[in-house]
Amino acid sequence: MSIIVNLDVMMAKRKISSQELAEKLGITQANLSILKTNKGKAIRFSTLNKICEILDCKPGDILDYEREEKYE
Amino acid sequence: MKLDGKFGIGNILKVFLEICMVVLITNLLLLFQIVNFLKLKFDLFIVMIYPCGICFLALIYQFIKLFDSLKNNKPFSNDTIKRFNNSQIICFIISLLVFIALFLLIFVYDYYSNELRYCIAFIGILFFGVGVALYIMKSLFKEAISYKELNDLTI
Repeated sequence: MSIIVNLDVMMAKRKISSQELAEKLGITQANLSILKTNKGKAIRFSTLNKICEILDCKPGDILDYEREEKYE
Repeated sequence: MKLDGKFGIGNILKVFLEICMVVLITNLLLLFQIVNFLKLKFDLFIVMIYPCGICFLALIYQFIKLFDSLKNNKPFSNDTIKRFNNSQIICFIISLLVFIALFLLIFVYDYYSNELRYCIAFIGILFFGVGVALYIMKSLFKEAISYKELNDLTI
C-alpha cells in the first residue's frame, strides 16, 4: 500500500512506549503493532484523533504517502 | 439453541453425520449380500452404487470437517471455503453418476420399475441443486471472510 504509517517515529520523538500508547488509546498491543507495521487496512477517525491528542501531533506527522512505481 | 461451541447444533450434526458415515460404510461393504438377499441382479446399475456411495462418503466427511470448524468457533476461515468447494464438486460428480445410472435404467435395464426411475431422476436433480446451493454458499462465505478481514484490520 502507498500509505505509510510513521507512528514509531513519532513515538520515539515523544518517548512513549507501545504499551503506554496502547493503554492510553484503549486498544491492544497486537492491534497497535498491526498499525505500526503497516499491516492495517483502515484506521478509524476516532483512533487517529486519539493518537494525535496523545502524541500532540497532526495526522500528516503519522501518515505519509509514497507513490508506487510500476515496472513494466 | 447455540450454533457453535461444544453443545451447539454444529456439534450435534457432526455426531449424527459420523453415525451416518458408519452406517453407509457398513451398507457399502454388505452391498453384495444385500443384493443376494433381495434376489436382485448384480448388474451395472447396482455397481453404480459403489462410486456414488464413495462420493457420498467423501461428502459426509467434508460436512463433518465443516461442522468441526463451527464447533471450534472458527466458521469464517479459508478452510470453510475449501470444504464448500470440495462439497460442491462432489455433489456435481454424484449428480453426473446418478444421471448415468438413470440412462442405464431407461435404455438398458427395462426390468426396473418406473417409480425407481422417477426416484433416481429426483436424486440427480436434488444433488445438482445442492451443488449449486453450495456454490452460492461458498461465494457468500468468501465475501463474508473478506469483510471480516477488513473489520479485523481496522484499528
